[in-house]
Amino acid sequence: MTERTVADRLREEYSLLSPEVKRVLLQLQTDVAHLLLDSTLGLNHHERIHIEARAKECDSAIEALRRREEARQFDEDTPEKYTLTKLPDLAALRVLVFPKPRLEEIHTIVRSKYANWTPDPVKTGTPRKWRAWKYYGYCSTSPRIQAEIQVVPMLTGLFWQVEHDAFYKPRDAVLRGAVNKPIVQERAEAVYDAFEALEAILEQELARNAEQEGQ
Amino acid sequence: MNELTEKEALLEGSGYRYHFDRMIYFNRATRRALSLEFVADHSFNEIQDLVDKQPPAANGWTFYFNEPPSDRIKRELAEVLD
Repeated sequence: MTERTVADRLREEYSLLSPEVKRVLLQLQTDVAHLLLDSTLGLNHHERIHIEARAKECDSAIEALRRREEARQFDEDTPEKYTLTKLPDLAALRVLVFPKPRLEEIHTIVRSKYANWTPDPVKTGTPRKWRAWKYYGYCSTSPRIQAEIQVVPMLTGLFWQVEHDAFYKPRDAVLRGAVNKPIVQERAEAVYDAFEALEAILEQELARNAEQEGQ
Repeated sequence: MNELTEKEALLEGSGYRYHFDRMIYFNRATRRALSLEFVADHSFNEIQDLVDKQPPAANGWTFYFNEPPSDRIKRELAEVLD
């Protein structure tokens, strides 16, 4: 008989967990949208709050677990040590915010409801630079599915979408893993820094415009 | 260049290639493979010493990981790298 691989077992686990992941996501999305309703309705014309929800797909979940192993290799002799419930983001919400002053406000509101979740801010580069807030924990819907919330500067978040499609989801195996190559990371850092500089100057110009209109 | 990029340049200048799928640096001539995590967690000088060291006489691969890999993983990786 053909041996069941770790990936086979994880696929089975995913199908069992999937309905629960969807319930967690529905709860999280509804709760956060409600939490941010006042802020969303009070946005100025140039300001944005965008909430994105996603349940991790089966193959992505298995790959995420595999990426935690050195050399991205499951030990087929110890299949019991792998479970998708170890992933902190089977259900995930990303709140994209523009501009930066709104970001602080949104983070404070969201964090106040999820104060007991574990903080895991996104930091990149050497030395490490803060890029986004992130925390994970459990919703009341499920004691075993971990969910994640990110509160992210909008330009950075949109770049992550492109980067994610290019590097994490390529069908070409050669591209997989490229994102972790130090030289690629160094270049990506330059992009993040450029976005931050752009946001800073936009913020400055918007403030100047508001001042002029008030005169 | 940051330190990690310098270590990468050192490895690539010493005949190591990066395996994009496995995220390891490997050298078929010396039959050594270093995980990305190992490279990240060791200093430039430590990586330099390792690169300069004579390869072991045995024919098999030597793996430098933070968590020593099991025999099965070593066997499967060797098949991928050979």
